[in-house]
Amino acid sequence: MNTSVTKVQPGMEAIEKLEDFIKVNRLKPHTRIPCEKDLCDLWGVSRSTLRQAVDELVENGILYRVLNKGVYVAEPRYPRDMAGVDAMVRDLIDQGNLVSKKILTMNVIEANKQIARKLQVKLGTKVYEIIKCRKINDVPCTIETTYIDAERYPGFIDHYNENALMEPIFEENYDTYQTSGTEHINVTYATQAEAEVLGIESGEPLFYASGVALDQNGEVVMFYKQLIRSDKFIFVATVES
Amino acid sequence: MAKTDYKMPIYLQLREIIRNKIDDGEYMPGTAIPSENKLAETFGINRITIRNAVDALVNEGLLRRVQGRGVFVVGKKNELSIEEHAGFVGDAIRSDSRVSIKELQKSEREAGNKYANLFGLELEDEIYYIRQMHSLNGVETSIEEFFMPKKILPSLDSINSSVFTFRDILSFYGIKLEKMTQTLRIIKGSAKVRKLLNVPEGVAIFLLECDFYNEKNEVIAHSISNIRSDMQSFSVSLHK
Repeated sequence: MNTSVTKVQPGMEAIEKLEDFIKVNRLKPHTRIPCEKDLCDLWGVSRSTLRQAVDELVENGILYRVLNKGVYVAEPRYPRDMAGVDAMVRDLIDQGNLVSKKILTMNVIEANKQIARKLQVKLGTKVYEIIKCRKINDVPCTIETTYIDAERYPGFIDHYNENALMEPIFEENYDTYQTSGTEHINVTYATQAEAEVLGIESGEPLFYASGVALDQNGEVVMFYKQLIRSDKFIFVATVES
Repeated sequence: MAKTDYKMPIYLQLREIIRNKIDDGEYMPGTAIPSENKLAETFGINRITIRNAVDALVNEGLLRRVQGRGVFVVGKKNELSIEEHAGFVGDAIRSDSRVSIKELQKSEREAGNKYANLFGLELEDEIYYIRQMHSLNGVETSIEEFFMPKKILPSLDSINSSVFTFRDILSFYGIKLEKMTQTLRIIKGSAKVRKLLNVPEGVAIFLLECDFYNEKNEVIAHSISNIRSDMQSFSVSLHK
């Protein structure tokens, strides 16, 4: 098959021009972009083509519309590094965000089949279940559930509170260093209860990240499930060859 | 001790309880889960809450509703290792017999504003544009778009993009792929894309974008994938 030089479809061209316009002009979040007519004149595209381009960037969360007012640049989403939860928290703090958490529940439960399999413990083993909501700049953004073997890490929840990070507790008290793991990234949809905690509509899509963290000896430290608002976060990764 | 006395009520966890039963094989692929009435009775929760949880799992692609017959378990979703997503055809995809790839478009076009800036080109410099439809078990799953300056590979036009991986092609020409950066977002997606992929109402789309870098830290290619989130999930290996 031979390729031929083709003209870029007007719809695609308008989307690319719009994306480039935001980037090159370094438009800040909540800046209004020029009205449709001005952009049509500037780029020589039709009103309907431009409207479709705007629609697409609105659906993709790059722009948002305010009725009778215009189209604005959306807040960038926070990066959730695929290197895990603690890395995410550190990065957010480094970028000057206020990160806080609220513990919703903290209990000792008996491992069901799934938890037993993930933690590699016997069915019915006592495990800690910690469920917390993380806020960024006072906006609830994630709900995280963590399971930790209570027999292997006795007293863990006595060390843990809303001002503590999990990683240093493992390192300082149990000589456990999280060195590797596997994470699965999926989608789910907020139930009514989750929607209330996160301050969104029920049924909104969420990232569903779950995984296990392993220590220096390859043993399971924890099993976690993280629900992350998809209107606030993107997942990012750098893969070196 | 910061122990709270708040116990997570069952209705909060119902979606996860059903998910676990699928994971554990109690609800087997191809079989129906108990009716909403039965679940409501078993867990002592109202039907609206049951419906809510089941809807979420239907939209995730784990369950399928069949009119008048009940709700069936679909089975495991296809999982793609994010490290192996490499342009128009990753190694994992190529070796997967369930995946078929159809080249929808391959052309040369002007870079235009966006790609001139991304690749450091002039507006009218030529870039390749490849657009593919990927299907899994005959179901259209993702639309993959691929952009690359023509000067990097002057003869991409003679290479079949649905046979060779991007890595293969680069290595044919002695180009080293140093790293790639990926971003994954969840979007509703444009009406056009939703229609092309037959995305059911209520199901979100994964938008996976990737920049490919050479050893001089220049972007040498860019890909955009719109992926049905009820058909595909991702895995990542973490190492510190």
